[in-house]
Amino acid sequence: MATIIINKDRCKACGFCILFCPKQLLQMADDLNLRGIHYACVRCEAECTGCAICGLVCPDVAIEVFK
Amino acid sequence: MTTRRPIRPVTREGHPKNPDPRPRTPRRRTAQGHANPPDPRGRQVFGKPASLKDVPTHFCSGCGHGLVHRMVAEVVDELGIRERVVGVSPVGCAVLGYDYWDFDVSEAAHGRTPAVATGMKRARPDLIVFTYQGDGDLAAIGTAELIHTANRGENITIIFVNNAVYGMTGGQMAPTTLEGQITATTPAGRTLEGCGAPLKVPEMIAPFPGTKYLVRTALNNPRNISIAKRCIKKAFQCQIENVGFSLVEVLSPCPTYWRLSPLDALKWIEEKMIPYFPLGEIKVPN
Amino acid sequence: MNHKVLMCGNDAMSEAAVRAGCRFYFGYPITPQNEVTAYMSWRMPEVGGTFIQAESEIAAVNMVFGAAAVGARAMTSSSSPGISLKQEGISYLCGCELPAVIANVVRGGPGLGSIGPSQADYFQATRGGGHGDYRTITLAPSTLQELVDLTYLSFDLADKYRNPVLILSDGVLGQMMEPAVLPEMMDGKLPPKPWALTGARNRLPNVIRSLYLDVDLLEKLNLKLGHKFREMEQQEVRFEEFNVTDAVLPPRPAGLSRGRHAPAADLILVAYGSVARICRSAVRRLRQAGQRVSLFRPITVWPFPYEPLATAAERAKALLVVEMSMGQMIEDVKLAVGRCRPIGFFGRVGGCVMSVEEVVQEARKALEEVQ
Repeated sequence: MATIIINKDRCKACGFCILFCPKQLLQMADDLNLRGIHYACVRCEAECTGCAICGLVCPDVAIEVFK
Repeated sequence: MTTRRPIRPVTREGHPKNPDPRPRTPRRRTAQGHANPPDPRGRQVFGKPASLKDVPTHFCSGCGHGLVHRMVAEVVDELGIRERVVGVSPVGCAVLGYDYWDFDVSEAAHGRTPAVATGMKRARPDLIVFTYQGDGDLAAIGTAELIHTANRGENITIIFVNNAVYGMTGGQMAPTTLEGQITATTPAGRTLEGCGAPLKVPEMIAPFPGTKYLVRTALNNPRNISIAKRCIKKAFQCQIENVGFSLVEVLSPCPTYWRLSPLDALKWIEEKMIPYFPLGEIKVPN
Repeated sequence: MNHKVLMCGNDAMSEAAVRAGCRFYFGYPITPQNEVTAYMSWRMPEVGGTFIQAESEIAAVNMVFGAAAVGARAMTSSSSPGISLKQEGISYLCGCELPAVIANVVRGGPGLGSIGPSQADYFQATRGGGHGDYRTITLAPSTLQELVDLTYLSFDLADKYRNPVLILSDGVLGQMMEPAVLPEMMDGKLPPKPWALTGARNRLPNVIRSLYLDVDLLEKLNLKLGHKFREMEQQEVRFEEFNVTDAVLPPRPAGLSRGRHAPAADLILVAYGSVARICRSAVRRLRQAGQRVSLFRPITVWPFPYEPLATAAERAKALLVVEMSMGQMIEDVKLAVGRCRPIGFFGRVGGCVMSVEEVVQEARKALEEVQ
């Protein structure tokens, strides 16, 4: 069981984490962050293995992974 | 009669040793910048490295600079060299390195970055000196400095971020712009006749005996991003072990001036850049 | 065909150069003149010219040297740090007596500075920023129309004197949009250049050089250049006086006027380039409040209009020099006026632009001291 914390206001919506999560656990939120754009958020945390690929590919250091 | 005060002992490098009041062990911090308390969520396996300031960057969405800045900071932390490392920023999108890295950083005039690094390393060989340069800084205006720093075999590390375009100034052609690529100064696409072919930097300087570790990496998928970080670490280790000059080229996305979405930019690296700029180690230490 | 366009300054300057017969542009990206490289990259091929984005500003100015040496009209442009790089090349162009046009879209400095507008390259431009005894005619437009007219003129002046000419634009002029009437495309007939390296067929070889190991010969060259610079000082001074009475009239067509003598004013503002526009508005505002203030605007900052400024100052109580710098043109103003009038200074630096109100406040302070 792992936890993903995404700092939504750091997110610039590049989409890398959503694309590369091996289990497709991330998605774009419906609402907007302080930048005025949609941001990545966790769709289903229960299946997260803590592989941290999402953090690895994030150019904005918006993602923390806990295991 | 006045008593003479003792002269402070000076090290071989020429500077009195000053104990660093800051704690030596880099501590992982949360993205909010707090020190890591015992966390009910578990052990943090990924977060912001200590050598990266908690400052949102100015880079565009999907820009590779954010990744490479973070990787350099992670490598500095893992090698424990934060108090020995000095970075030299280029002129280009990465000009504000000193706003993001939490260690000593200097600017340099456009293209003169390797010369500045040479001056630093010669004056203080104990420091770990790296330059961080874009394709214009390194391979256009800085060609002479690149060639001669590499040829002299200066024991520094060059991180070369290649995104095939001049980002900061509005998307003009770079020395690594691909044939047919449309930019602000090649509105009909780059032509070999008139503009020449894109430059392959590590291959260009590989024949120099002074160059020791030359590698090309890319940021188009998690595997390549991991490899890029490993290569950056290897390059820094090359310097620490006094092996000699190292250069890591990183093929990096520029969604804004490629006029692509961030995800399409990653595809463009894979489909267009990598075939022309092959990945891998071009030269390794004996 | 003359036609009126709405363009940004950098684009207008580029088009004016093309219409003046410039067919070779070599440049390098630097903010705030990137529009010039982008414009020339498609416009030059359109007119059968050549555009090269050089590897550096140094390479670009040396490409200009080469094109000029074989008789072409060539141009380069940059902004402050890049113009610093070109200084050696400009010295060589002067020493070798080659015509060329170099445009500086000035930004904040020193060093990498900022991308805001500035006038802190005045010394560099007017004192011969490179090594050796030389001068370059330096044109300082204040409006887009003037930028167009002076760019067009610069190529003729460069050929007339076989000397590089500098255009001193800045980040305001380069980026702003204004209507301007473009000149007609010149007919392509350049003035004869018997000195150019065109291949020594049926003539003795030509040589382009500035190296003279025989020091007497180098002195001769310098005296010859000095004679040229004196000619420029006598014939190419340009300035404008925006008088107290003019405040209620539309401004005179700028650029090529030789000015006329100002009536008595309490305070003369001295400014050039985009700062002169701000000062013009300040003069209007002060005039409406009943103050006797006028504006003296050098159009050539080299050769500087020393005599006309001295004459104008005689009939005024004080001067206020306004620049986007720590005070550079003020030295020429002091040379012109000497100690006979108080000379104040107001400047903004680093890329900051003064507002009309700020200039009005400073002018009021200066007026209080003399009234």
